[in-house]
Amino acid sequence: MIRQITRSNEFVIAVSIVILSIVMTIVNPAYFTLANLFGMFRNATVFGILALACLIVMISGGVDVSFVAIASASSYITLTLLINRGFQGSALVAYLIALPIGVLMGCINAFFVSRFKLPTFVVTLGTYSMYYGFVLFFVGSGYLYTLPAGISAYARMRLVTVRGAEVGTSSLHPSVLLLLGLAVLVWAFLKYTMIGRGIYALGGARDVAERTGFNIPVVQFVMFGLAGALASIGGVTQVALYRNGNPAALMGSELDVIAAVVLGGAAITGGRGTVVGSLLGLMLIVILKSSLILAGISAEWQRFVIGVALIIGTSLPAIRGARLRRRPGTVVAG
Amino acid sequence: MNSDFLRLEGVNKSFSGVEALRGVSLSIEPGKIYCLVGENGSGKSTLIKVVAGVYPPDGGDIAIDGRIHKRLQPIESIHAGIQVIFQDFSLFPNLTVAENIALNQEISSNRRLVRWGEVKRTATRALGKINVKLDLNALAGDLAVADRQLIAIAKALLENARLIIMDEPTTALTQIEVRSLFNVINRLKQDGIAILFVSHKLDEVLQIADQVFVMRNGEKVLDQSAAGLDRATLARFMTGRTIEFDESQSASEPDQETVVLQVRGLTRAGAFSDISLDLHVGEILGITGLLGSGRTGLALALFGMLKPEAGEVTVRGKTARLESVPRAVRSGIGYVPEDRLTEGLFLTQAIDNNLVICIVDSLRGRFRLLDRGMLRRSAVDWVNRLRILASSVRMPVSSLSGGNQQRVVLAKWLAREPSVLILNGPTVGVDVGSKVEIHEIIRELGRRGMALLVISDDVPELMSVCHRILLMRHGRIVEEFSRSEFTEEAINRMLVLA
Repeated sequence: MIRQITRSNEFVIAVSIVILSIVMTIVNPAYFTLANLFGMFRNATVFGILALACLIVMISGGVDVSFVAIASASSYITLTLLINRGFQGSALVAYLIALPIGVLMGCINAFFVSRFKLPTFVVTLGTYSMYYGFVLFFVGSGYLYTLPAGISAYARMRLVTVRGAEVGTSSLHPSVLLLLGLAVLVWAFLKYTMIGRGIYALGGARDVAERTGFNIPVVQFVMFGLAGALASIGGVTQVALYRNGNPAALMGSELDVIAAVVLGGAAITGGRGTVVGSLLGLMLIVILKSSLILAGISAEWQRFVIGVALIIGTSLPAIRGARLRRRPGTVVAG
Repeated sequence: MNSDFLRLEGVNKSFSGVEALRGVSLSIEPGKIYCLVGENGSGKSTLIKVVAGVYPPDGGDIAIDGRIHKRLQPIESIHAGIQVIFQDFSLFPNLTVAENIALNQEISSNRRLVRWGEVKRTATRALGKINVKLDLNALAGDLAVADRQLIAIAKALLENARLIIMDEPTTALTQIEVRSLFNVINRLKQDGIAILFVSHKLDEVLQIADQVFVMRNGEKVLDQSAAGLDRATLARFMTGRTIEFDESQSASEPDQETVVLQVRGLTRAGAFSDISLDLHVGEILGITGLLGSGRTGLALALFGMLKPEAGEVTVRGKTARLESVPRAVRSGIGYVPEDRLTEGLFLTQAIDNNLVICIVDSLRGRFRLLDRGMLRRSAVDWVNRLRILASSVRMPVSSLSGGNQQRVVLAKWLAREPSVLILNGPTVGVDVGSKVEIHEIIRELGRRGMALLVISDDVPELMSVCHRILLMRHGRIVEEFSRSEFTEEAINRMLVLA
């Protein structure tokens, strides 16, 4: 049992995070402060929610790149709508409007993937451009700085605030709880629902999944719908945390999210991946970035270091896997 | 006759004019083990699929428990208790043993949520029926082939199987694993479950079967109790011609003077140690041993794929430094892998491209570019010499039958004219007719003066082609048998003593 845990990917990443943290605390004592911790959580919140969306699709054996476009498009459409109507109410309304838009966009992905049996990567590469272009043309392309009052209030909410001597005040935004709640939800969905198991089955052996009696189109619609929903929640959260609406806000960050999920042990070919692993993978990337800043290393090097981490992180299981010898079968007595 | 579980009566099936099954009748009683043998294309697979309800027959009746089904649906076949275990076992490599076993039940109970406690209990119960203990939390993909097969059997039992059809179940198993599988099958038999065992391996068939069906060209040509059968009879019915199992025909004596391959003290910790052997011109040397005995490791080391830690190899008197595959090839060593499909061929490429891959450097014409005409001539020549059945050398290799694919791999290496050719499991997954021909090719190579190292756990095969057989155990050569000492019992006994 202990061996099983220490062999797991999650364990390796967790250990990496701990080691990195110890090193950073020695290099720069500013690392191990609540202020820095809160900053990192803040950076991780939106990407964490998006990583959940990316993860479920990746388990099924597909690489979704459209989730950032869904996040940006659904939140920008929602925001434009609310501002045009002069709505000033709760941020919850923004979530509730963005959600069905995200689900719809996810279902469009599902439609092409399941109806025409196209690879997820190709379909979502197409819809990525489509959703983004749609928003630019029909909705607008400008930055929206004047948020509805309710969303501004949400943006200012604090769970905890600390006053540091040097860095001023820093605080923890409640959206961290939203991320944790969604993580638990997705974890339970993957582990305890038949459709969740269907996603693993689909990623493990598609034809066997069909023969076993999984309704593949249903699995795909639920999965992409959920991914779309998560993306839209991520999008609205992003608007609140950064206090502006921008149709391109998240565009380009899909590769970071995919990297985090892969680093977290999800197989890009499907069948493997966990919520805990993905979030740890994301934390590792966030910590690496923030460590490099604190260590005074230039931003250009961040990308390089993340690339190295990704390659080392993904080749470790391969190296360990190669060492596994073929085991002889169990001998059954007559 | 009333005790029949399944009865086929004059079943016909054709695909676009080609008759795959012609008037096949047979009956299956509970608690008996049936073997279905036949060469590739004899209609075995079609027969299984008809019984499974996948193909509707064009004519004839299928009766289950006396009830006649004109159009048997797959789901009816399953509900009636017919379970087919295909070669891929229909498992999810990324899911645990427990989930793989219980998943069908979970789905058919139409639940939306998974009850993990119930999944474990179901799996334990199913494995208990065949007296097997497996780690329920292990991933199916991490298990040995034999264990995955046990999962598939356990899964079938959960569906209240009354007839389990196994398609080539022993192909990827070692001898011990085969024996273990037979124990499971015998236990199922005692529980009144009928088994239909599809196989190429005649020895296994004779060992396990109560009743044997032989198929040829879509017809059932033999339906007899296994008790009075021998290999030669079975092979004759399968191929429609007499196949010699005479082991003395192996031909020419090797030239005992000239050593082609000399190995001294070759060692690699954990794989093999202190291996010394001499291989002469025209000699066919067999190496056998159980899985883990080091036989495959030795072969890989000789082909530069596994680096030995100590020892020396000389080829035709010259020290060969086998650090990589290109070096081994340059030293004059060729290797035909066990899994010809994944290791030896580019399946989607044309036959001619596969044939010339090792000699492509010598087919360059002017401007050092590839000469297509020369390539074509060379390929056609090899196709004729090895009697590869192909309509054109431009067809992809994947269009050939297993035996012909194996010949393409052979030809590919022969074209290079290596001094030593290592054959690892040369007839794994090949039907009887092709097997005999491949054996003849191996003998022919020996006669032409090539030195061959044949690695196999098929002892009768080694006995029929080799001049000498070396037995490996725990990484060492422990026994040598010369031709006069060949008896299957003796070698099998040595194998089992591992």
